Amino acid sequence: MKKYLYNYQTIIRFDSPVVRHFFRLRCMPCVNACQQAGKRELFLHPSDYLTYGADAWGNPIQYGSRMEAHDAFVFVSSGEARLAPYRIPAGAAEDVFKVPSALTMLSPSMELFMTDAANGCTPLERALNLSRKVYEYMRYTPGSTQADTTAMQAFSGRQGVCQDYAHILIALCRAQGIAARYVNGFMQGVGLTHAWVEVFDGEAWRGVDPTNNQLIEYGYIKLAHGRDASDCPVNRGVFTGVAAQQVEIRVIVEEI
Amino acid sequence: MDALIESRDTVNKWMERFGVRFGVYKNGVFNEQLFPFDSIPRVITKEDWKDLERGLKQRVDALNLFLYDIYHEKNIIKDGVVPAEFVYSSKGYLPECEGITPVHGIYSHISGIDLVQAKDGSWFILEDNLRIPSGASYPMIARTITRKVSPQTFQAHAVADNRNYSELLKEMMDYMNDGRGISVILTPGRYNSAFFEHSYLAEKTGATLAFPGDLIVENDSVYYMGLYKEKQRVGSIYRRVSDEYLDPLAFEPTSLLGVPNLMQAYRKGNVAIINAPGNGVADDKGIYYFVPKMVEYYLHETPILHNAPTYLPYYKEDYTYILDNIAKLVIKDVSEAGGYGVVFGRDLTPEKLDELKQLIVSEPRRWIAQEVIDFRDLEILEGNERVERKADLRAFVIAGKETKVWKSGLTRFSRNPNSFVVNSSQGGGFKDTWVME
Repeated sequence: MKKYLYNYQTIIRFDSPVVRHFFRLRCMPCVNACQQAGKRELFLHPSDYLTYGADAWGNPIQYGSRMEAHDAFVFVSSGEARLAPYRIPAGAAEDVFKVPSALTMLSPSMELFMTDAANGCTPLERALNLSRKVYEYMRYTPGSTQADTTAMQAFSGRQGVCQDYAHILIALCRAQGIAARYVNGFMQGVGLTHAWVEVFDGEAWRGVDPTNNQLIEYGYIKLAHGRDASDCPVNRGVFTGVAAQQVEIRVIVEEI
Repeated sequence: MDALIESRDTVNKWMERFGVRFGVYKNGVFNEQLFPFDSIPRVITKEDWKDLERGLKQRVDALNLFLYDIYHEKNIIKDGVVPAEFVYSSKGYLPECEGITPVHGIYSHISGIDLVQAKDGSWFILEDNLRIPSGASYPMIARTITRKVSPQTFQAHAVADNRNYSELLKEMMDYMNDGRGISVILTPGRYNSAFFEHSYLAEKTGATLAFPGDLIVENDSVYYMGLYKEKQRVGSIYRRVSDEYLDPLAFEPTSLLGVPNLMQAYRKGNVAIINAPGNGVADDKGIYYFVPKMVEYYLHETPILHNAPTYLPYYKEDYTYILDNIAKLVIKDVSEAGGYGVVFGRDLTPEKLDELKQLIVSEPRRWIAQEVIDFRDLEILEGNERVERKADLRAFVIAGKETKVWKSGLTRFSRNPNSFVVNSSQGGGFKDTWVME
């Protein structure tokens, strides 16, 4: 097993005070067969209460509220994670990961795109072929898409960020009969949160990162999974107030 | 009886004074309409009712078992009775509800089952409404007024009293509450089409009428914020806010009508939500086809009530049948509700029929087709003349400690002699429904 230290912080600044702020976060690493947590800490300010729980996919969530007026909201999730090679054994993949979801519908042009990329005997080999095709076809362009951009839209624009790469790959895999799910997490180095794909190879969920065109072994810390990005946002909040927000995110992951 | 029938205008005037209204959005503008009352009641005999009651209980019990199964073991999919894609591609399927066991395991506490009676007297189910079926308040209030206007009618006829709907509702809400706190009715507010009903039912059941913002979640419990900021624990929520707006942190993030983190309190079993979120997977027009199979699968009984003969283009033989017979069928878009997305093949030009066929070919999962049922028409008063019109019946089934069928229902009719669509959002009227004792 390899050991990593992670530190993820988000600072949200409101340009005028807000009240009745409720939040639901998925910012602490999950625990599974290839990922164990050492000490995990969450610093959060300001909040009236903080509750730890799990969502329907089994992802850890952290939620609470701040009723009084505030003009900033900060959370810092830090700790240690121990990683084994990326394999999450499962008896079978749930059917829900085999059918398209709202953000991972397939367009006719994506279907055409897929036809000559579907070679390879095993589901994992096919997924890797598709991942390479997506990587070569798309141009990584921050700011070109939004949180609710669909796979179809990103595909026809030929640009996007990790979320869009993951959605396109998921749509293609599911169309090929390969169970695939969306994953949020951290990647080794300094940057933002990252998104990748897990495909079911018949025995285990394997990690495929289409943005970096690779099969994942080490260096990826998983927070949550779902059918697509809308199922497992790292941070979702609602508040009352007329305020523009400025969000600053920083992630640092290093191997020790 | 004649006195009652002649009382139509008096009753409508009283209903107007009571504010019995129905809101309709047309071209983005909110208008409140009166829901026209027709004074000739629909009469259901004691014998007819016995079968209807048994059939409705059976159907709702099976639907509740189906919902539990879908959000837990999924045996009905594993056993090949319902295809997986019908469940997972249904808009009403909410993965967020996976693994949640609602209080007492009940999902559909208030079911509105829409039926029509064919000319030979047999009943057919048109659709199940397991999310937020509305309309029970109209026959309740109509009865209250007609009993005052024409008391002798109700002395002369043994009609089951229907003003006990609020008692059925209260009994169920108390059972779901389990003494955890107060019961509330959560309304989206006064611009909702059924706001009259929300406030009326709150008054009649003694529940607190809560508006968005009145409820907050703290440490996995729900509280009602009173006028002076005193908090009261909430044990059951009869919510009239639809699933997608119920919790902005779990569903539609822009919802202003919901209660943030409500789904977490619900997941922990600290509050009952009436009806349970995620029920849309069972009243989907595509799933409708499978309900008689659910009765056999879960209850090992023969279904008492029948579906209208339905075809799913998903199945090869049905697909061929639909394309060959489209001109005599009624085609429904499974993702629409409220009488929208319903097309009668016989009303279409050959070009439009071809277009529809193309749509079915390209998206078979999106459509169902049904035989047109020869309804038994009901008499209504048009001016002072009796004319026959299409009508349906929404029966209300309340599932709490026991499953009970309300001895009445909402009979809706179409004012347009050529229309088969009776939804109130499409401009129809309603009648009282008499169940004889």
